[in-house]
Amino acid sequence: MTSITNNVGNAVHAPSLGGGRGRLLLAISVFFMVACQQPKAPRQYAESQRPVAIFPDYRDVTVPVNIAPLTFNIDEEGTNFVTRFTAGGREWLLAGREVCPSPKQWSQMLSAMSPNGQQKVMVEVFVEAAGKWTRMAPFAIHVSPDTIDPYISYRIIAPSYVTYEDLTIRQRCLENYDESLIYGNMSNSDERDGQCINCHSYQQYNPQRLQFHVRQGHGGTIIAYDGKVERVDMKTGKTVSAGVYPAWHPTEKLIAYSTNKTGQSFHTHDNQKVEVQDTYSDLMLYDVDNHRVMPLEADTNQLDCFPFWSPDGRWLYYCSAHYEKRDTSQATTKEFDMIVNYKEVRYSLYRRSFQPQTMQFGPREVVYDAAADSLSATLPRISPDGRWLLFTQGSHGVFHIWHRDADLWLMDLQTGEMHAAAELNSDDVESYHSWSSNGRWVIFSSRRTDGNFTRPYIAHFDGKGHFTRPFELPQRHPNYHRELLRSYNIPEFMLGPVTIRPQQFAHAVRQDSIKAQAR
Amino acid sequence: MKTLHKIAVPLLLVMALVVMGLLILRTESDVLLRLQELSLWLPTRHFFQTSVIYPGGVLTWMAAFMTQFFFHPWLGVTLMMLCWGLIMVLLCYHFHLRGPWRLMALLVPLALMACLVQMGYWLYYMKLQGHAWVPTLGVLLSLVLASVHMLLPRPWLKRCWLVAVGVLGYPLMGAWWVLAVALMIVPRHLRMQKSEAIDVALGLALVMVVPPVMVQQFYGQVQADTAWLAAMPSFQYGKTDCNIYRLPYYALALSFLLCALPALIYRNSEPAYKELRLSWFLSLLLIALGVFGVHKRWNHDTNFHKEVAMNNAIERLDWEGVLHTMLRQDMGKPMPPTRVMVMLKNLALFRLGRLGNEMFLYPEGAEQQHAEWQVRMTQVGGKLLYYHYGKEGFCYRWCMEDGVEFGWSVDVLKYMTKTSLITHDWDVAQKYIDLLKKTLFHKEWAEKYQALVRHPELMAKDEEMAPILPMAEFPDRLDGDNTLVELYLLKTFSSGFGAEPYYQEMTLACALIMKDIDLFWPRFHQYLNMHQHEEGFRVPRYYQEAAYLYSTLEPQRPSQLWPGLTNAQALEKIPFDDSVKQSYQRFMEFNTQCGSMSEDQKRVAFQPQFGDTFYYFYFLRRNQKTN
Repeated sequence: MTSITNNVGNAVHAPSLGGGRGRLLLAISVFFMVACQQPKAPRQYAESQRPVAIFPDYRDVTVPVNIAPLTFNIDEEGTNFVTRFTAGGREWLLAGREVCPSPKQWSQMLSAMSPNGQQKVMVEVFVEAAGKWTRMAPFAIHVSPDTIDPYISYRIIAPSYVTYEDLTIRQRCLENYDESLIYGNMSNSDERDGQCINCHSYQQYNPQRLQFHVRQGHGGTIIAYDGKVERVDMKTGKTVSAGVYPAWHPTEKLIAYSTNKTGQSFHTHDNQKVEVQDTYSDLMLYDVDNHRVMPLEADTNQLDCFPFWSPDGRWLYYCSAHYEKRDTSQATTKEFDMIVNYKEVRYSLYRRSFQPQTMQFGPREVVYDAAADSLSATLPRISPDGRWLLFTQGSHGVFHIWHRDADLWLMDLQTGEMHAAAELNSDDVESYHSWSSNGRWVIFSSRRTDGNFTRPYIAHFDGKGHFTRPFELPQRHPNYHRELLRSYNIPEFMLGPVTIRPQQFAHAVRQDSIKAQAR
Repeated sequence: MKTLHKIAVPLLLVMALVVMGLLILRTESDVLLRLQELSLWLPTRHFFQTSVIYPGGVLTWMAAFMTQFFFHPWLGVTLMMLCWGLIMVLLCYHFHLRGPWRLMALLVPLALMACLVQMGYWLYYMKLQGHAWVPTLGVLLSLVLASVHMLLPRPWLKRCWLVAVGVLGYPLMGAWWVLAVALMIVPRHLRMQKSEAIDVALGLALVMVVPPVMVQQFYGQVQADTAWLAAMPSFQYGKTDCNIYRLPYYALALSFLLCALPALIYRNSEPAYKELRLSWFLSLLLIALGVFGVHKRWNHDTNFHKEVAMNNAIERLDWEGVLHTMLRQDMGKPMPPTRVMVMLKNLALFRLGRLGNEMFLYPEGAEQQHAEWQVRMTQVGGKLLYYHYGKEGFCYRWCMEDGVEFGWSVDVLKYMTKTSLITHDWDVAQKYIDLLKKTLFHKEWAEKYQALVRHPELMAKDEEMAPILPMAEFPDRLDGDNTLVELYLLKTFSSGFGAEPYYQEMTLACALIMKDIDLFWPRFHQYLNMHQHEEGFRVPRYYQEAAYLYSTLEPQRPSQLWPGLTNAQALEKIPFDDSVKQSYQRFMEFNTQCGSMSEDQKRVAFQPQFGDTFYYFYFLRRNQKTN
């Protein structure tokens, strides 16, 4: 008999065979036996009360029932590792530092839970170090029966400042790990004529109705609506820029935009690295069918940004800051003045009523005067039931992705009460966020992993003002985000995949643009 | 005679390779070392997947792998010479080169050598991953694939192989696959048979059809009209198209055609005795032309090589080495230094504590980098300077910008690690260290800096970081450099005040270099207050010269050192060195003698006697344009 030891310390026995062919068969047999050997949990081990260090940190998170398997890396010192998943009285064992349940195993785990029983998968991690096994403190992965939209999309971009090279808007199926390209700028870029792409947005989570911007080479806004794709040049003499941050009207073929004159300056030492500021910004409405741009009011001292429609389409929410040049001499520009006083630029939340029939907006109303509290609130996003307003708040400024104090806050629009979404927040940046179509999940950007690279996190919402501990977007290989030197930008839910191929978008980008007219 | 050829030709080829390798090592070792620092290869799925999203990704991935070995330039060059040797063997086999015609095989390595040694400032600007190895591996793989094609015994097998390479070669090798297909279909003799004609048509069809189809179906990130250029280096930067750098690639194509000629003429047979002289003559003539071409394309730019050598010396903290390189005469034609060289020299002097005494003892100048486009200090030396002068935010910023635009490299990951450590951005420092630990040759570096994570007390004792820490301890502010590194450093330091002596001296030195009298005096005053009680203290020469000059230039101005006195009165109280006073007197006397000269003439006339004085710098060094 030949005996070998597998990585859990259990002996595996294989019969001895003679001769060269026999040795080959033996080797093949042993290989397959070891490969097919189910790992076993150690029988003897010490208990540790210390939470196991894993990456991503999926301890005690709540996941939707239709999410892809959560994979994680065990960041403990050790030579061998066994992880035991338990659900509905069944158990699954996985060996190794990288814990990657197969889709089949994951599906079995989630279906093993009885409808009335505990909706969670228990996870125990055993670590062998210096020949001794230790069981780390077990944790749970809670499973919510609330499903999540099957797709998200995001832009993948390095957190650079001025330069860019290959930028992609991608879509990801949340039910598995499939990721595909929606559009990549290199299909229309060369050394002479670069191209930036940004601000993808959908009407009511509909992947057939989307828009994104193309800057510089072949610049314009790509609008796809039920199969028709066109490039629109929205720059008119009546706005400071073409459309920038978009918000599709939920029912009409209208898109509200902010128009922005944006600049950035660099921290000499601070880890927040860069301050992005608008020196001028306003709002405008774009009529998709008639290619008409309708500027809203243009007050140079009022910086309006990040529009978002209420689910019934009767209110346009946005953030706005009042900034007048402090140094009234002609010696300095407004840009320089704002750089010097950047901590005093603070945004509050406002809304304006809207009548789709007449296309008229009402006067602005204060929703939350953050500036009065010496805070700056941006990115208002209303839940699909119209009750909850989730926004980002920091001490100053508009571009909170570079502000480490930026957190997510929740306001009950029925009562006006608000509080920090403590379950979602970390010591680092929390910023761009969006609601799932059923209002039970939010996805948001956070830099909690390393302070520099943005990752998407997803959390459950109970409809009563409470979130659960968020989980990082699962990946096929758990260390993927550790190696990725790029950020996720604008994570948005979708009801399905965008079916227009990247090459079709590339073709549309190369076509002549439609010049929008100002009204 | 035949035996002589059998021995002499291979011997000549081997000797040629050895000489080529030694020449590259002798002149380009520093460049090759920097080349691998500006490259990155990681043994991870993600790195591979990131490479293969473009056609030719496998080739560039392999090339990036090979580039690592230039960490030991001798090792990288040896590997490259072995590949070139293999290429010559395969060329002889593929083109049935016999007798002296085998010398023709050297033409391809010569063209490859020209591709490598012409690089110059493309070192910093080339976007193609593993660009130094791509031509060699592209040629080698093409020859291997073509040789397999030759070895296949049956025509139908050859045709299948042609189709397989024709279809799969493009994703693997990018444009280099054209060479592989061409080598398979190129006729071996002038009278083509029908089956060969079919192969030629098939190969041409594949070359025409495969890239657009693949781009349309699989590569959403590739422009259709550049599909045939995949995995080829682009010598275009911004709006500047540098066609001359494409010459070695054309020469490479031509060398293959030349290698095909003997077989076409002699139909695989040994050249007859009477033709031997001709074959020797033609082969050697073509090789001589090739050598001449390599010589013409070799980048002999002294300043480029000095900049790279100085940069490498700073990475080793060999500050004396920086100064030695600045003065070296054996690196090519002497020329005025670039601003990068002057800045690196000043940094070395500053770190050695000799800036105030020696800054004008070295060549001064503002020679433009010899490149067809505007070379920016942000790409060449700027990150290093920002790091060592404590401008960590700006160092990190330009690392990120360069990583995005020119590809991630060991160099930017190292600087991002170091700046993140200094700003206590521990988590992201750990991220970069973890990546560097996966590299073949930089694990040791990563382990060294791993020890500093969350240990600022160890950083304070670190030979490299300890002097930087006081430079970084200044209040944060929003700023921008507009890519003008030198100007930004001069302006921020010369307008700054610091209580820390190391930092303070930089503010004084920069005020001096800025020739700004108003900025100079308060910093000189502060410098004296800080140091005058130190035992054996002596004001460094150039600070004395500046103070002496400024006092005499504005004698009636109220002194900032002695309130109530004028500069002229205060002049008597400062214990200037006699040599300072005397050199000033001689400078002024000489100026009187040269009264009728133009400034340009004076610049030349004063240089031998006064080129190392602040007076010369102040009066005769103007328009030191930085970039």
